[in-house]
Amino acid sequence: MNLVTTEILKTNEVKPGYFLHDYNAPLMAKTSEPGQFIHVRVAAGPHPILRRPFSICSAKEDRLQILFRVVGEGTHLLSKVMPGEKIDIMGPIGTPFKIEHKPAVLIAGGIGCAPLYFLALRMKEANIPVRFYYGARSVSDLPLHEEINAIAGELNITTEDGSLGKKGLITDVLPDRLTQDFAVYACGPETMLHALKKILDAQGISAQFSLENRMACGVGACMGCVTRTISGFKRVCVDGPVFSSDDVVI
Amino acid sequence: MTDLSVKLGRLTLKNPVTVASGAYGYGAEYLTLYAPSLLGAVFLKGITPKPRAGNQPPRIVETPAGMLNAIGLQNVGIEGLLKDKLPALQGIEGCFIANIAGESIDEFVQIAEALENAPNLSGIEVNVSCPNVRKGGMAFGVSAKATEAITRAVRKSTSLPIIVKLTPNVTDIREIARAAEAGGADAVSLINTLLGMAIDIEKRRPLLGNITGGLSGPAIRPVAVNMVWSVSRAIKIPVIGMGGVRTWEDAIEFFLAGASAISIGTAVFQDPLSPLKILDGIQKYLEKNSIDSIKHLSEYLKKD
Ligand SMILES: Cc1cc2nc3c(=O)[nH]c(=O)nc-3n(C[C@H](O)[C@H](O)[C@H](O)COP(=O)(O)OP(=O)(O)OC[C@H]3O[C@@H](n4cnc5c(N)ncnc54)[C@H](O)[C@@H]3O)c2cc1C
Ligand SMILES: Cc1cc2nc3c(=O)[nH]c(=O)nc-3n(C[C@H](O)[C@H](O)[C@H](O)COP(=O)(O)O)c2cc1C
Ligand code: FES
Repeated sequence: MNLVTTEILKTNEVKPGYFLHDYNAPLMAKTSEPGQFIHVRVAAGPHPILRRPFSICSAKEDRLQILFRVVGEGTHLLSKVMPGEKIDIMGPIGTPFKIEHKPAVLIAGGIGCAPLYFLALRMKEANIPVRFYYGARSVSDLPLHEEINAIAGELNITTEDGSLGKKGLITDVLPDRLTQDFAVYACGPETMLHALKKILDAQGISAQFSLENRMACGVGACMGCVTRTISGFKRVCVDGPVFSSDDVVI
Repeated sequence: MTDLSVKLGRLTLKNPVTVASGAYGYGAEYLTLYAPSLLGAVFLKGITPKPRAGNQPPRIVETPAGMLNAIGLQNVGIEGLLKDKLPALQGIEGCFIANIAGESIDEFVQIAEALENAPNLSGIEVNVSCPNVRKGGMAFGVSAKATEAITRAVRKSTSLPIIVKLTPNVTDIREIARAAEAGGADAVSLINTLLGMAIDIEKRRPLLGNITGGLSGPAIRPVAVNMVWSVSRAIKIPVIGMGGVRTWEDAIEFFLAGASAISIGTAVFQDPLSPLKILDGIQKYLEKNSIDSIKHLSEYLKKD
């Protein structure tokens, strides 16, 4: 893990309210793995005092990329910084996805596409076939779907309003049997993971879930970010964010 | 040369900048960033006799220039500290101070005795001020009698220097500070968090799993400065000041209020390097103003 004040290379509002940021972070980029995140300082002054965690969305050569949605004060501040300005980032943090060498099913809900996009990039390099399932409220909430389409062998999209892909929820269009022949990876809102866990449990298979929680330290020191698991509270920041679906209680 | 060392009773710190209990884990979490030996002291996460699971999440909520936490003293227990956490600090230089919390006087004594020969430990902070546990914690720290009894009992059961950590959630904090002094504390530290609450207006539910929590960060600084000021003129033992210290200017304010040393909690979350930046700023301030020892800062407001 590193802590650096570095340069913002590029900012891009890919969809209204969705931003891609490229940071110059050679050391972090080299060691980043899909599922890990960076902890970003959003204010120089006393407010907001806490950093914001964002999944690493790609890491190549000297560049580290995140994709974020503006949802509140911190992400609003972050959306206003410009290329050339400095940013204080800490990472890479957390337990990454364990890449299994069998065909992969990636299931993303909304902004949960960020770590799975990075995962799909790495799987392409490793020649692992990827079926990508990507659900959101509407077409304007599907950032990166073109990029994902370009790298995944198969992309299935659902939107709640039917503005792109099938109308409905992503958990409605999953293959009837996920079976042991696939490795399943998922990131999305709790409601999606909850529904998915039910499907997985019924079929007796497990997946890797990337979870979110409110964080203070981001390094495992404060015990603020714990989530319930079958073996007690675990810290999302360092014990996760990736957990086995068998372990999580959601 | 500016003298940055400070004496806290039987404990001497190489400099007055410390990190607060709960913000720095068990001393090893930030090792990849810098050596803890650069700090005056590291206060370890509060421990109890048995491991504690802590409170139901969510445990943190951000608030204006601060945060609420309701961790509920999740910790590895005395055995975990002795078997895993302190050995992990073996060979790492630094002044590490345990923070202990019991549900009874006996439990405080039990932990203090177990720590007597612990390697790598320079002192004990007696936490009678945690607002997030149902038994013990702040319930002791709001009573002068209980505070004095616990301090005296811990004092008898250890040869390590002891610091009593005070809660601000009282009518008159000076009374509690005097009780700690009477019980034989080497120093007192203040303030622990202020009891607080936040509500989700959409869900119409409390935001914390524990309903209430402890407020920390820059938002509480003026409250803390006032309490440090009034406590330091009520007792003779040294005061470690904390509550919202984020910059070196904040730290200087606490020294002027009467603190011998300062502690940084929440600001470590925003910038893990802030303790080092604060130390640097203090040093420059003293040099610029030709003040040859940090100890002199507490003299300016004595007359007021
Ligand atoms: C491991 C991890 C990876 C994440 N990856 C991404 C990502 O790639 N892209 C993205 O857009 N978002 C991601 N998030 C969520 C992102 O951290 C929040 O959207 C962001 O913190 C909101 O900050 P805010 O000030 O805009 O919102 P506010 O609601 O004003 O924030 C208030 C407080 O709540 C916290 N908070 C609010 N929502 C969340 C949340 N969903 N998760 C954690 N903390 C939250 C904030 O950090 C802040 O402390 C991730 C979260 C985690 C834990
Ligand atoms: C997440 C968190 C956990 C804490 N845990 C402890 C603890 O275990 N024992 C203790 O005495 N104080 C604990 N505290 C209180 C701090 O040590 C400190 O007294 C308080 O936060 C005020 O300082 P600050 O504003 O710099 O954070 C905790 C504070 C926070 C924010
Ligand atoms: S955010 Fe502090 S332990 Fe995870």
